[in-house]
Amino acid sequence: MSPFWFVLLALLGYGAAYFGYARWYDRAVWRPDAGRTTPAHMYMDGVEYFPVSRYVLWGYQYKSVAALGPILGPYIALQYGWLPALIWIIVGNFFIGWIQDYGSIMVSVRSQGRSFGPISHETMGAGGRNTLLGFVLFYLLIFSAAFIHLVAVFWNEFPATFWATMGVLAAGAITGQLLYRARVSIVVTTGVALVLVALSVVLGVHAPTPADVFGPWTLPFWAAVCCAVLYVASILPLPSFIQPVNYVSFFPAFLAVLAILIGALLSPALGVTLREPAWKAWTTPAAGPIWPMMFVAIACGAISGWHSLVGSSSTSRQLDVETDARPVGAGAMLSEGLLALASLAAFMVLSPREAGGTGNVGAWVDGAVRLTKGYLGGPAAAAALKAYFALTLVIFALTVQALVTRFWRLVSAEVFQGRAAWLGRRHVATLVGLGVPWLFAVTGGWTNLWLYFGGANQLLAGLALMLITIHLVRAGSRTAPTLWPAAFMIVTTLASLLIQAWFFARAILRGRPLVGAGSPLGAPPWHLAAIAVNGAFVAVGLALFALGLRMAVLACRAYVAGRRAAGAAPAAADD
Amino acid sequence: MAGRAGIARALRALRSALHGMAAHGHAAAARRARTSLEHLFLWALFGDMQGLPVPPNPYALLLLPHVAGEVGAWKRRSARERDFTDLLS
Repeated sequence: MSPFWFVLLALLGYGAAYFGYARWYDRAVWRPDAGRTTPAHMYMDGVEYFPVSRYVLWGYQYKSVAALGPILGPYIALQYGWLPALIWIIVGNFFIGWIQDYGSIMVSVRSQGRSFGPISHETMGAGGRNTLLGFVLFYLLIFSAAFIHLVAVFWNEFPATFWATMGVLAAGAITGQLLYRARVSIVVTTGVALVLVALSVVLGVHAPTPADVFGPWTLPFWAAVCCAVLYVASILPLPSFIQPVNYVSFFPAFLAVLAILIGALLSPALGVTLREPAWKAWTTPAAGPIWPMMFVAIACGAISGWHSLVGSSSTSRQLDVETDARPVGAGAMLSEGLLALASLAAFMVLSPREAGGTGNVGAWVDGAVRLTKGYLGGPAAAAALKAYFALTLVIFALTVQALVTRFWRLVSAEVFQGRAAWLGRRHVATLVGLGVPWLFAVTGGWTNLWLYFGGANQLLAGLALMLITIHLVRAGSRTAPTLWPAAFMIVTTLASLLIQAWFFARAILRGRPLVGAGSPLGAPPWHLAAIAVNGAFVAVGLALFALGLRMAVLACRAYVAGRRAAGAAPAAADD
Repeated sequence: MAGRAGIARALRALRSALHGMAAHGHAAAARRARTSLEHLFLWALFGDMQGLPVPPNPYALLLLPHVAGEVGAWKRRSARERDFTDLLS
């Protein structure tokens, strides 16, 4: 069997979701009206609120939501075999993923373009909004730890990527200066940037960094370097660094995704076949039982809470007409599902030995090379392709993480007012937002970190689905298509957080802390520090569980109250 | 003819989608940065319009016709409720 069938199956499944289920859902539940004034027109200020073409907005939404989640998540899911992963990516997208993205946009559009903070305040009171704030803070810490860990692993595992990354960052900084200071046209600047990015890959290939340069302390070292880069990115003004770096990074990242998709479609002609077994086990020692762990491992490939934050805080304010919400929200999510399947295919073309041979999630790079080298230069190009795909992983992680670190800093300034105002200061907030994740990144293993991140992220999605359901029940509309997915996601993710917290607690009780492979913290005397940080992991997991449970209880109460208050006759969700 | 128009429409859609992916977010961020500076300027000169006790300034009167078009959006943005989830936009 070749990956081609995967992509074909996904296209058929997602086509049915978009043209069948989504169309029915649109008509039966939201009843979008092209004649109704959207917030983009009602509050137009040319800055946050302004109407944008559906194609531009689809591109923006897709770029904002498609990152490392759908690319790397399938790796953990493969521990159970590729069949359950494939089923969850398709079924999760079909029944849950796009509904959440689309519903988040529509709830915000029908609530005067307000984001989830004010909407949760309106539906669940001040307690609901404050609980959401607390949850998001812990979520950002775990998010940062997972991504810093990944960048450190990639820099160590792929020696060609460090200087290539530095080259891309320099290209971004130069691009910013050309655009904003020298006022060179965007076309010329983009041309220069692309040349610089290509040179960065060449530089990386010819100037590899030594592997395991500091022995067991290599990972903490690379994680510290990553934090230094993120620190600079977070405190500099957006147009000086993050913005142009993201712009420059878009092109290689987009081309890599396109190359893998083309490779998967051409796989029968190129003779690339699946080598992973379809089914392996119900449970694994590292990740735990298939339910709930596989459902959180795949992360954004099937459903993601991050999407609801993006959809309700920016996309909804630029929607030209309500009928655009389906192509933008549902279209972007289903496209991301396609990316997840292509990534799953990249892992599946490696045998278990080959995938395990790389030692971790970086196996995706080997799979991507196998899928593409047949039509991109053959074996002679394998080294360059490997550097290129590995660089893609790094810049996917680094660019998203730069925005998350900045978001943490801004949220800290909002949260820590009054007595603890010093915690909200620019440098202090950035140091805390990087120091704590660094500590987590150098202790927790990749699997545990990712499952925590996935649990928090999907729980946010479940809560977003509940907010959508509450809005719908208040409007007297159908709630079943969002209520049952919300219940499933909330129960699944809360269970996954408890199991992960138990894994860390069990490690502490046994005196054998959970640390990454080869970490120096696994042996005395450092294992005591690792045990302490494992204790912090338990605390974070329990905090996420408690905050999520509180949000869920408040949401259920609001739903029941809304159901009682709603009239008996069904109506459109148009208040 | 219809086929050619369809291809042109598809190419326009593709270009728009690429623009959305590559540059839309950055253009919006640049607009936000510019607007923040403009609003700071408006607060400094015309803050009394929104209750900020700004000392009377003869230059403000001279500039008023040039900024009159901005005042509405400035007032709306200043009065809008803000939340931590808005910081993502």
